[in-house]
Amino acid sequence: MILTVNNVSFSYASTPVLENVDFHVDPGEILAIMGPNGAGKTTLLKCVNAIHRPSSGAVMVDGTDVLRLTAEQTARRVGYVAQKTETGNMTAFDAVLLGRKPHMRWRVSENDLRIVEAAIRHLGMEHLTMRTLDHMSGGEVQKVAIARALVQEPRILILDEPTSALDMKNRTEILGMIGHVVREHGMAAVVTLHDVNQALRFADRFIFLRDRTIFAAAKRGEVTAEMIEGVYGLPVVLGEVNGLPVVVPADETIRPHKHDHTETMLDQ
Amino acid sequence: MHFADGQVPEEYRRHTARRTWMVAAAGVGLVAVLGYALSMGAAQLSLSAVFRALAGLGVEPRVNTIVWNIRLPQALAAILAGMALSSSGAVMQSVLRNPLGSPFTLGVTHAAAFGAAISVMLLGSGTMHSTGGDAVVISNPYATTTAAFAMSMVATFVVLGVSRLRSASPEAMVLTGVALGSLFTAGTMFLQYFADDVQLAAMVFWTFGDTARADWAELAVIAGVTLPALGFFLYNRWNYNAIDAGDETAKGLGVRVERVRLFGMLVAALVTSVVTAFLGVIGFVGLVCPHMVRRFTGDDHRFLLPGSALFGGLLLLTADTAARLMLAPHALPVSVLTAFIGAPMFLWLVMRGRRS
Repeated sequence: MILTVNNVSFSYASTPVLENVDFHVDPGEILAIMGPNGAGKTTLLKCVNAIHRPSSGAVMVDGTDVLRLTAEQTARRVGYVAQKTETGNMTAFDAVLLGRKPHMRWRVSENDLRIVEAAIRHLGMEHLTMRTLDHMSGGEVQKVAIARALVQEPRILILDEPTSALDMKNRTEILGMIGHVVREHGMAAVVTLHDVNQALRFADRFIFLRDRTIFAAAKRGEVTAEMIEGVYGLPVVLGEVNGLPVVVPADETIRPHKHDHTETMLDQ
Repeated sequence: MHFADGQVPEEYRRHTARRTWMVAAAGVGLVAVLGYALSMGAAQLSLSAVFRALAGLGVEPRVNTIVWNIRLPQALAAILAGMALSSSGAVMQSVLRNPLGSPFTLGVTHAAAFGAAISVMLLGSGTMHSTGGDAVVISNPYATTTAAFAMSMVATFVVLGVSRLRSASPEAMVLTGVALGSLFTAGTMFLQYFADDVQLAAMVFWTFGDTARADWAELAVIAGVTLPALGFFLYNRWNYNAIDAGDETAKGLGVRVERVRLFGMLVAALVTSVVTAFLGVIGFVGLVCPHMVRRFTGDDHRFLLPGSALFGGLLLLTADTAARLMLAPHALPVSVLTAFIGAPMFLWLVMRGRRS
């Protein structure tokens, strides 16, 4: 187990946001945290890398309580890709180099530079090396953010909605890339995703957050329509297309009938 | 992670070398303009005479006096003030996440002017001498300076205090700064309305930023604050880069964002207050200079900060020398010139966008 979240609760001021959340992640494993907006997904991620301090419970990284680590020590173990990355007049290489900050002393070392180049190459974005972030598309900026988290050489990667601003091709590409890196390096990843279909294909395990706590947990292939219905409060149909799991809101299935009806009316 | 097979791209090395050279060029330019500034004036001195005076090799006492007592203090005041204002502007732009960040944004300079006005009005530190030209003299410069400094620190702490309530949010800092700026301006106008002719003249005169005011003792204070502040800014260069990438990203990299923001603002405000208290209000350098440097170095604070400091010193020294020589034998206060050059330059930067 790389990451253990033990009965974590968290409150903003006196409003409880998370209550008794409990899970763990193994090396090479991707865990998706799912749930409706405001369920506490982002808050949970921030507890994992100690940006937030849980009001009770503990987050253990490789057996060490994160609250016992300095911010810098945490940053060497946990890489965080935030929901939003700001751009500016900074080359991709320098933007990724920033990820070496937790390892740096006064000067940037040759080793830092080499790691940055290798990470950029592993993610297949050499052509972007010298381009500045303000001249990149949303997908390219997202890749830079992921490369930045990777050069932190973390044990755990946390990604908050890494695909929310991306088109279908970029989504598939970036999730594939994350999956590849995590499995190859025996890291663990915790990801929040809104797109249930993407999540079902991408993650190894799922936890569904509702009303501040874990509503259901499942492995890949064990997710049921009832779990999704229960957490999002929406009837769904869970099926398979070419062996891939597919979820659609059940309402949608009613529409063709309406459509038929309209056509019939027009025919008359 | 196995990223040991990396090869640093040549293109990146060239890019880094280019940025280093640009910073170095600003330094060389600064030394060149300094030589020119010391030799030019009512009495023309040769560069070799200036050099010999600086090196303490026997020159006639008149040259020695001109270089050491008149021109060098003024030139150093211009360089230090340019460095302080420009690097503070660069840091404020980063930690406030706002391209309009500058000592003006916080109301620091307005507060200093108000402090000076209070000192003139209540402590009677302004008088008018009509002997040597129509010079208005602040008869007690230390009272005025102290009052200006105290008031700008009051402004700084109010801004930081209010933003602390809102967990050091940059929006709260900017909005509080703007509100305080207009409050202090109103306060100054109130005092000016009730001031007599002499006091009014002294208040207005004080707000003209003028590098000729500094003597060696004051220069020592300015340098004693500015140089450690520059060191502090440079020490935090990666923290500012991280904050530029977004607060959440920075926190994920182990940066204590609120702390870096508070201390960055505090130190930037402190150096600005000291410079303003001794020399008066010098506008636009803090705002425009970092933006000019960004065009060449990008937003990377490893290069932006030393570049802004050196270029700020270069720009203010050039403006100051021009202001001395343009309308000779009258020496224009440098703040008039910086505002005249700064505003069109800023417009030009806005319209050109940045070089891609």
